[in-house]
Amino acid sequence: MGHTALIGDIQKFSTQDGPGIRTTVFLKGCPLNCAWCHNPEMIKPDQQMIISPSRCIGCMACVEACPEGGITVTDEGPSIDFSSCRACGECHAVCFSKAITPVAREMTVDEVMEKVLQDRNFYENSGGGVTISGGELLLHYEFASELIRACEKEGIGVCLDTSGYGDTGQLMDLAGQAKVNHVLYDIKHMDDEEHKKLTGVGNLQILENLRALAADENTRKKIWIRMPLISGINDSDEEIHAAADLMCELGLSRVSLLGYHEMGIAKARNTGADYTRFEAPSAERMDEINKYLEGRGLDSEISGIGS
Amino acid sequence: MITDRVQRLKDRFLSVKPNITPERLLLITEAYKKYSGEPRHLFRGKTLAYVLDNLSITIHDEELIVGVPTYSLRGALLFPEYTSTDWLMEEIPEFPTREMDQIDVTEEDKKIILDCLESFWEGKAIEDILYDILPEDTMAMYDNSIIDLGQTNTISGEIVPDYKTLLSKGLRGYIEDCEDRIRTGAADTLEAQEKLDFWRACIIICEAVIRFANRYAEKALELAEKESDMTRKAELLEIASNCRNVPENPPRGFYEALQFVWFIHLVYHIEGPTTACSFGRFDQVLFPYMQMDMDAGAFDEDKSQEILECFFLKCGEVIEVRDKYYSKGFAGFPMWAIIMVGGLGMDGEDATNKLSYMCLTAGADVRTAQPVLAMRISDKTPDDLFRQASEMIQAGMAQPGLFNDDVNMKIIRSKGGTEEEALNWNVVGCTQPQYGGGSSDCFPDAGYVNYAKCLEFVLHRGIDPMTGLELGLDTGDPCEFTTKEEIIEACKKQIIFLHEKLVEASRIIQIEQAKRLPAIYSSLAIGGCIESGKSVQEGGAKHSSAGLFSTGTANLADSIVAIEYAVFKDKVITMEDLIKVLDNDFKDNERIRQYLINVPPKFGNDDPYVDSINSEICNYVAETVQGWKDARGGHYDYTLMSQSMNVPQGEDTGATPDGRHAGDALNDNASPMMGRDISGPTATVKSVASLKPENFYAGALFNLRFDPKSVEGDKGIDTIENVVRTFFREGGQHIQINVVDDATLRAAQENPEEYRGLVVRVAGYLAYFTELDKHVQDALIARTAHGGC
Repeated sequence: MGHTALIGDIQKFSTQDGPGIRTTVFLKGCPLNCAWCHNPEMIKPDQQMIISPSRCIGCMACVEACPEGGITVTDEGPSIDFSSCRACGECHAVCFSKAITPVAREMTVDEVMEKVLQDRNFYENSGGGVTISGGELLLHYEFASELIRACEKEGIGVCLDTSGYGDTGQLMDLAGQAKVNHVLYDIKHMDDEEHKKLTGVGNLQILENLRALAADENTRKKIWIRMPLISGINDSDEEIHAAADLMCELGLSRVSLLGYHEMGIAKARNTGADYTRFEAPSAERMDEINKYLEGRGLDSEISGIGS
Repeated sequence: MITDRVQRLKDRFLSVKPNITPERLLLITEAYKKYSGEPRHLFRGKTLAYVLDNLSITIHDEELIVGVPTYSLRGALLFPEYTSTDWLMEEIPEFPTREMDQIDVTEEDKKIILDCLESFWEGKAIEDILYDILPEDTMAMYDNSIIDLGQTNTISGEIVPDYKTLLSKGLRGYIEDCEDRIRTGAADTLEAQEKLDFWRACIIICEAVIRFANRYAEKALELAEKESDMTRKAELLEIASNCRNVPENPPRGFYEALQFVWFIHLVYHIEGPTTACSFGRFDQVLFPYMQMDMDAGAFDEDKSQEILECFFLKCGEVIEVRDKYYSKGFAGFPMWAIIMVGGLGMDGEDATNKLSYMCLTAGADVRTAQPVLAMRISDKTPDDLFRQASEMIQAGMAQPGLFNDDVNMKIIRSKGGTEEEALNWNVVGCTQPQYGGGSSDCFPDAGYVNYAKCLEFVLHRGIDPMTGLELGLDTGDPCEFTTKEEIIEACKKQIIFLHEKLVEASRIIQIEQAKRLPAIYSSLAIGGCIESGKSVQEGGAKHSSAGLFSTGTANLADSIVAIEYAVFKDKVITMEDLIKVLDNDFKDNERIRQYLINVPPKFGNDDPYVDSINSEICNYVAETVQGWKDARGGHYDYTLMSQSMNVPQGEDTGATPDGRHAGDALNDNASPMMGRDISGPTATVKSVASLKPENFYAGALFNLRFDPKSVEGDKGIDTIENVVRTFFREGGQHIQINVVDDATLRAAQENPEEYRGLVVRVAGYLAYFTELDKHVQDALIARTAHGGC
């Protein structure tokens, strides 16, 4: 007992990551580096600072506080020299307007549960529960495992939100837990080379893990495929057909289509990360894909806050 | 589906600006001259009868329900016996152009009105009389938004009459009842004599209302004779037949029942300047008449729906004229004409019926600000009724307001109601639960206390920093305080002190109202009045109560915690400097303001630390003031409710330690301070429920705003229902939900013409957004819109 993890956020009233009203726990750190990532500040496994330029009142307290001398403030707000930033938090301590904040907080499972339990009645009334997301939860196997057990003890259902990239045994173990109701599992691209180019890792491990989950009657029922769709990147007929073929082959049914949105860009910029701007498929294209998947016998829906 | 007729009636209504006519002013002036010298009950009876007998009779084209307060559509009446000539004469010329709640008046009428007021009414209104006799310091508090005094220029006794009995007896039944009492009553003491006068006055008024209805019957016949369209001719003949029968006799079906209720309601607004005359459990009271149609094989659902919608549209035709200040405090011409549907029946089982659904449909069809739909929710509420309500909310209609049967019944029991009165509980006023069955007189608005001002008194040793007047208590040198408990104790003393001043004034107001303006007609159908031979003002109702309202409760709790963090804990500033910073409205101290906003926890985020301070203070005040008696022996009902008084009271309040700028609006009602609840709606509703609304005799009004995207689709409907059900399970009393995004509200601000039908929840009532003044609009936009992820 007593594992800790860097928690990016504990998002209450989460209605897009599984059924009902949920609380989503974001674990920091991800082995993938998707070019379109909408939570880019959650990729690095270590603490880092993020700026909210519009909140800056120009008081300069952070400039003085930074032991590295790495902060400058202009009319556009603060800038951090991220190459020298050790995320010591001195700037945050003096920034009353919260223009500079740490991305995450180190928490124990008990501390996370305290927040989770606040909304217990909402889960019960709505069929909701907790969603463990990230980052990538498979980087935090011990913590995730303990969190699931804690939820089980309280009778709270859990959704896992995973890229599927990680140790097969660990994934099978987590997904197999009785209180895990759904495994939200991404299909980002069907081609290994392309996948590697776009996310930094190939998809062989991911597909192998998906096959492993699907091979077990108990875990197969829990799989809920999610496809982030980016125009010109992974929304071609060829791609969609290949994904559908796989889902049908594995006997999967439920799939959500998530159109690309730009919400990650500001967060990338504000943590000093590179970013690329993509486009979402048109509403017509999303409909077309949705209809196609339905035609293949899949239970498909368009979800997410979309474009 | 809205019919063409209803659409046309609605378009006509919305195309007309509220306006005033001199009609009632001139009639009441004649009546005052004619009946001067009569004993007060008879005087009141005869003057009202005179007005009713001489008001013009107008039936507008295509109407199915008839009866108007004056000849011009959306025309308001003047009540010089209540409203001070001082401000009327000063403000009437500005009515058509004032910032808020504009009212048209023609040049010709303006002259007639001003001449009449000047020649007869100066100093005669109860408002003038009260301002002369109320204690000077209390008046200074009133003038400076420290407290607000209610019912100084309105009728005391905003009511839900016993419509069930009214419909079953007809006014003829009331006349006979009074005649019996006069026959057998003694006249050997002054008190006994006054009872006789009361019953005689009741008879005079009932006869006048019957004549009033019959004049509508004659008018309808006259129009029918001239009418060439055979369909309309038949309609007019039916209207004539209805008005011959009701409200004198019990209705013979649903259509007549609606016409009956409309006449009764209309005359409340002719007797005195009043609001919050509600229809009670409309679906329960009126369904038997629909059943009558069904049994007779005469029920036509489409026709009944259309008549019901015509009735809904009528509800917007009565307006109260308010001065500049109250047009902000009660913004958007609210009348709080509430139609309650759903809830438990006398057998403890769900009592939803066909009319419950039809009322929701009518509200969705007409989408006007009046009437206001309210719905009782219990575990037994049918899913499809709840769903119909949620769909309306999702579509941004901002109604119905939702009430928790369980908690409201608990409140009625705890303030002495019988089990039947609890099961039959109802809203009187805005969202205040009262005894069911029409037995409660509610003096709903004894007044408002500004809680943020109480903290200003603590920090300035009883001096109001805005005016320099010493109007609060000296609770010691705040710079000597070292714990939050000391601040809390000092605040409690200030709050109770202001409540005492308010209550002292409210008793004087009640007594003067009883002495001068007993509202005979409004008392007639309140359980207990005829039996006791007394008006509600004289304590005739079976249950009397008076409402004590609170403004800025969340600002106070947030501020106390902010001081604790800044001064005692993190020591970023001394108390002395903090007070200076507040007095300068954070000038050159934005950094401290950012600390105060962002570092200490705020109410509305499910943070038990700050939530419990809000709860502790409110519950302490409730427990104290609810033990007090009003001038009639009734009790005081505490409520977390500000209406939109948070705007004008905020204007006169300096900067507060929660980071709020001087003059900004205070938090509205029981809701968190605007923009400070940043943890999502589940956290917000839990915070509000943690205040323990069941301990407040008049409940806790809660506004929640959702971003439309967060409640889209079928899942969105489920989400709305789940949030409401969970809030109620946690102990919530009332919730109303606006689903509208900032962009829409801003666009409506920019282009009011295109959005004149946009209805929003202000407090316990709906208003046309574009008719609100900019300050109130801004306060609505500032409410946190909860989104999902």
